[in-house]
Amino acid sequence: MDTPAVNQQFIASSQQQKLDRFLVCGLGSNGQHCVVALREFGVKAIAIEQVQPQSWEIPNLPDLLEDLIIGDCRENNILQQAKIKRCRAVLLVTSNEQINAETALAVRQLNPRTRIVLRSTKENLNRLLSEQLGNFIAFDPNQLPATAFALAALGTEVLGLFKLDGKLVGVGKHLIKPGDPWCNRLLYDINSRQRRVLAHIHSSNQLSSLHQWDIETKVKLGDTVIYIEAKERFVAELNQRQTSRRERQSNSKILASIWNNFKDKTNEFLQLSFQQQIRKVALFSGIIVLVLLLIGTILFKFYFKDTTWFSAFSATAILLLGGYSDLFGEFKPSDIPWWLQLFSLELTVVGTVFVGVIYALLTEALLSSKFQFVKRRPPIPQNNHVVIVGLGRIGKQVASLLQEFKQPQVGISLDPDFDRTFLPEMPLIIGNINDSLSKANLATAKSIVVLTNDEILNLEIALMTREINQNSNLILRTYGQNLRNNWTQLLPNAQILGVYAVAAEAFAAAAFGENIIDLFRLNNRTILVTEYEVETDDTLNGLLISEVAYGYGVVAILHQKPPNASTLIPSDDLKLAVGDRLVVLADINALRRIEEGSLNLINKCWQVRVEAVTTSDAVFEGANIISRISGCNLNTARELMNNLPNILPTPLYKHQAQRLVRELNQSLVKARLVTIPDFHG
Amino acid sequence: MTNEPEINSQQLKLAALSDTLCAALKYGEEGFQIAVRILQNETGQMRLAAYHVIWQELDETGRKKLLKYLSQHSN
Repeated sequence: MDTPAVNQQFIASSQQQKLDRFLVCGLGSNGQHCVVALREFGVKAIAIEQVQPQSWEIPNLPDLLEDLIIGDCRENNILQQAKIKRCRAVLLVTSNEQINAETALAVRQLNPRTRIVLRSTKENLNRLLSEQLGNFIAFDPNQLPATAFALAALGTEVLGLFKLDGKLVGVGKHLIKPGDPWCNRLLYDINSRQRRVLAHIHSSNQLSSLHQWDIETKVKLGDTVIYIEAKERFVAELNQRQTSRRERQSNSKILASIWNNFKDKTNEFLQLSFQQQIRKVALFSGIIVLVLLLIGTILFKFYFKDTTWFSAFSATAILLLGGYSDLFGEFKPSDIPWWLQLFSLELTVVGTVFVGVIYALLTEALLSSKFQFVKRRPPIPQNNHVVIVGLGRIGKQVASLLQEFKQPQVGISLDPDFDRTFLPEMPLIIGNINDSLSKANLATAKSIVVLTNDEILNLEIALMTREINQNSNLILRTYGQNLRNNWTQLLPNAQILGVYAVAAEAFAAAAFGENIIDLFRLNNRTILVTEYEVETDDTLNGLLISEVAYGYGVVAILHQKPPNASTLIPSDDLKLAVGDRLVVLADINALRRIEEGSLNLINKCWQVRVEAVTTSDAVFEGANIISRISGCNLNTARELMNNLPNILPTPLYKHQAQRLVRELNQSLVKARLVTIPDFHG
Repeated sequence: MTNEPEINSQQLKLAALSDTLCAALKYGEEGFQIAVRILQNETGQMRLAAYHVIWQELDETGRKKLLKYLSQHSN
């Protein structure tokens, strides 16, 4: 009975076009970086821009585009020109959020299947659009790199920190110093159920990529170990360091610090009084009033011998506050000499002027404080703190994250109307840049993060801070590619993060359907914390986690087989199946590999030769271990163990093979690594 | 239960792939080139399975040749 409908559906589905195009709407800085990031995934994007750009931030950008369409991306005919029906994903990244939202609606009407990646800061709208449009994700390009900035500010030890299923996971960089408990241990020995070594760098080398190191190396002094660890250890460690620093301060140091603080405050007050005209007037008026008060009190006391000092003082104060008529109001002969009466009149006139000025200044100060009687902020940290210059949207996020990490910090806002209720626990300086920097104890700061919206001002501040403190971590925010390249030469040790370049990688990865949970920087590369749900035709389906890790170059940090609970730092020996959830750390190249399913096989060239067993139980246990770690059939493993000595036919990745040998040896099975001569993967 | 047909089709595909590769590798250099091209066209689990089959069919010289080919054609 439903035959026509079924036919129609069949025809419609057979006519469904292959989704193989990517569309970027808006070729500003963010859009251009998205095109580059998509190119890194091996795809050329079609782009829509309202007007023909006169110049490109990324010089060869037109070569990276499949097509450039000039027009309004909200219009259906422009979207159709851009082959919207064939688009697998549309990245709406214009700087106008209204245009982005309107285009998202138009796109969904024209293509119900395409993935929409929206640039938007409006969380509520994003949630509603996600519910209504489906296959939709929205990012705030300023929010994504906030973690990267905050982590860079923490210094060199913590590279990444994020929450997965409510549990804290950190990526750390550990430099081996004398007496370090990790010194002289084998790398695999550092691994635990909560910790996994990601990389090992010899003192003289640079990190090339994850997994390109030998797990059986002994850790030496000066080496660096990069590791991932679950649980609260990172925050606890950071706090512990701060506490112990505080404890180490001797009493004399505390006294010296109080004295220095007092001196600083006094100098600061004097500098401010003389720097600012209005305060000069206040000071001048105050001095005049005090001098007159003093002279008046002395004169009254000496002329009226019977009076007290306090009465003389009161009479002078009354006159200064305009009370001449209260003392000399009645017209009758007085025994007070004319010169004293004249002086009293002068006191009243001068007092009226100068006390008036003081009243006016007090009123102005009260009004400018906007009656915000907020809690007093803590003092500016003396040393080892983070200075955040620029408390715009991204600056506020960085400050909040650093507060979450319990880092001593001071925020500097150049905006006089800055919301003074923001993070009341954070010391805050508001004012012009020269004054603010001088108050922030820059010379002893651990890190300086410069995040204003003005790139040139950021450069100026960076150069100023470098003059004061050469050793601090300097983190700079830029937008443009060109500036970033030039600044790297000018400030060689600074970390210069392009907001849009970092965010674009997340936008591009999201275009392929991946859920980007967070990102951080590792050796100038962006590492994306990416979540996958394994599907039937997925390039992850049926693989061991070790094969995913070494084959695609990622690190698996969470695995879940719903409805079971998730496991952090999962075992390498789990086989992925449809419905599994996997969270990995990956750079954009690794994500592309997963997208293409192009497992790296060159490094899968290690074999294990099993020599002998010492007990009969070891034969059984050995076969189980071989099957579990190599992923080979259990029968193959049993056959191997029954015909020793023999080589396991399945080639393995080096770390996988090393672990197999180690576990076999622990189970009293003698085994060793075998590789192709002249070919070490 | 719902995954059974999928598993079967996957196993069938693996078996067919294995047969094709084994057959191809019997035909010297040309067969090797075909097998490697099949390997390069596969993704994920099938790519891994194809690699294992080729690896196990080759001797040490062949394996060196395979790794050299892959390193030259890796992206």
